[in-house]
Amino acid sequence: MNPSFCGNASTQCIAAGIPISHCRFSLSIVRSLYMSLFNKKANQDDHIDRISDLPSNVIDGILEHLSIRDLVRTSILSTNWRYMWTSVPTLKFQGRSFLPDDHLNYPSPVVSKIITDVLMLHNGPIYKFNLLIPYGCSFEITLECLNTWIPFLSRNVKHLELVNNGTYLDKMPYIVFSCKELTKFRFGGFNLSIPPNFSGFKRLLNLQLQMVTFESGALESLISGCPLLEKLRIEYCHGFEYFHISTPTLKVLSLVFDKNMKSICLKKAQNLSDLTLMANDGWVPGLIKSLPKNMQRFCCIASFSDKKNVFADIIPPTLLKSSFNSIKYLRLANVILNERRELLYIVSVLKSAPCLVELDIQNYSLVDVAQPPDHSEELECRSCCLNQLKTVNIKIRATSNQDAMSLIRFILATSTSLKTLTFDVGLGSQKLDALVLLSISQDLLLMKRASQRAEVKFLH
Amino acid sequence: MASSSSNLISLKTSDGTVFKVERALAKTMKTVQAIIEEADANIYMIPIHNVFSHHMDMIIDYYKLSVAGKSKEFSVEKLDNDELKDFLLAVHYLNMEDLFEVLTQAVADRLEKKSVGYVRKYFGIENDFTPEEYAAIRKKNDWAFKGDDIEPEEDEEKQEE
Repeated sequence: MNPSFCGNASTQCIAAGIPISHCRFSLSIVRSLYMSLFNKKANQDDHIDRISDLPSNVIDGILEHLSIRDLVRTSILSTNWRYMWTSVPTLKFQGRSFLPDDHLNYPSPVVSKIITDVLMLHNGPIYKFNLLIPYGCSFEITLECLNTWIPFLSRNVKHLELVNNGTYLDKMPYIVFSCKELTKFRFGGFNLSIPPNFSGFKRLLNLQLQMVTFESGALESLISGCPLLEKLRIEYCHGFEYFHISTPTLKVLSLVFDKNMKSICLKKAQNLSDLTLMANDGWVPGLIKSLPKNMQRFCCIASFSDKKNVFADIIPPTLLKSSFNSIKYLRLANVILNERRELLYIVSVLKSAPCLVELDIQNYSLVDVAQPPDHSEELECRSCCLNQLKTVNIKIRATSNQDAMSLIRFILATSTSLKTLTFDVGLGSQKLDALVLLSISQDLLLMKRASQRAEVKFLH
Repeated sequence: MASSSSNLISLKTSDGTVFKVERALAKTMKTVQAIIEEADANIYMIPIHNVFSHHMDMIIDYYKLSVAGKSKEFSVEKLDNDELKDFLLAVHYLNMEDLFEVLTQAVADRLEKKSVGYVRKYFGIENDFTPEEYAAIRKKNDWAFKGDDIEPEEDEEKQEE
């Protein structure tokens, strides 16, 4: 440290923009300011590739985002760059950025060798490894592959994704369970059974499973081995009929289930605040036994084509009263609006959710319920006040517009803080003619509004 | 005066402009945070070298969007390659993790599937391989160079001769 510099601290204060009166004399402030400038220059000299103009850790930051082919190609930039890619701690063999259309037909041993070669050349820790086989590629992530590759990863990998294209019923090899540092794990297209000596993924926060077939008890064992789990996503999986979760740390859950699901029980997931449930092909009545108490976001998607899809069947009124009182955001998709029972049910849902801020109702469903729409009775508004509701989006096929109008009338009459209501009848190919559109616009304008600021947007 | 100014930190950019930013924003700048913590007294004004006022404008934009949960709306599309590099260096100097990720991703997106020649120009790199070395590396990693989606090399044929 240059002594002459230290001696003249007051001059340095001025140079650094600090008024002297505010400087209870401290050499350390001045020193740290000077050093941050000084060190930056030193770092630049040490680490900058004299040919490039970016410091090495900036280059590393950029390289981490490159897909594998782009990354490997940097080896040909110059002699300095030849092995720069081999220490980047992220390897992403992902979809078409790994195997573009004209490479999809590479024979499996070729694909396998590419990955093995990359892993062998690599040096340093690998924190993120993604292998996502693109649609159309016949390569399968086999037991032998993983037994070869996981040893390169198991010590350090935090974020691991292994997704086969489609369902492939080879077992997830036990070696994968030796990756103790995992914080995020996603896999798909495997058969899951848990090794007898499984000690858990103690640091896992985020788990995503798609197209996985569970052996008996495997899902429960896996989840109970993850004491810190915060986000869980299970889609298009088979082999489980009961979904009872008691993980106290879980905050976000997304579950896509099929007709085989018999029971969903979530009351023990005390911190679960964001829940998405989607029925792939219909649901059995009484499916949902309990919901978390402090839900803030709830999204429930009925199946696209099942005629028996009524929300009233799966979330009974008792559940509504106990579980919807903290909900701020609600989305219901494929609601059959022209079933009177369903329309009344939605009203009871709204009445049970006094904190609701945003409502989203969509109907992509092609189902045409035979019963003629019943407009004789408007929905009763007097006893209801949705005083937090600010944003409403209703998006339907043109043909069910009449029933949506009853709901809209109800919402406009009861929402005292409403800002925007968007009504979109543009879904589907059937378009309404101009006269009908005009009459809808006029009806919307004439509806009584509890909120003077409410803006109603009509999209077609 | 002291209590109101303790919620705002003054940052002076290289071009002399003073920005008063919320403490929470200053906290996302680890370099600045380190300076504040090392100080015995309340620092009056912190100079941030290598950061210009147009950089600070963008940093404040990003901060406002992320506080509103809309960080995905932040875009650097309007910056040309050199401006983006400069901004990235400024954010790197300030040691701002999230914005650094966003900007390195933006640079990576601009380099995606580009030819080797383009990438050399971007980083200012000179090719110092012999033609034989070049051909050997090219051949060994053939799978990474082939693909309809990659920009073709202009000088490839020359190199392989």
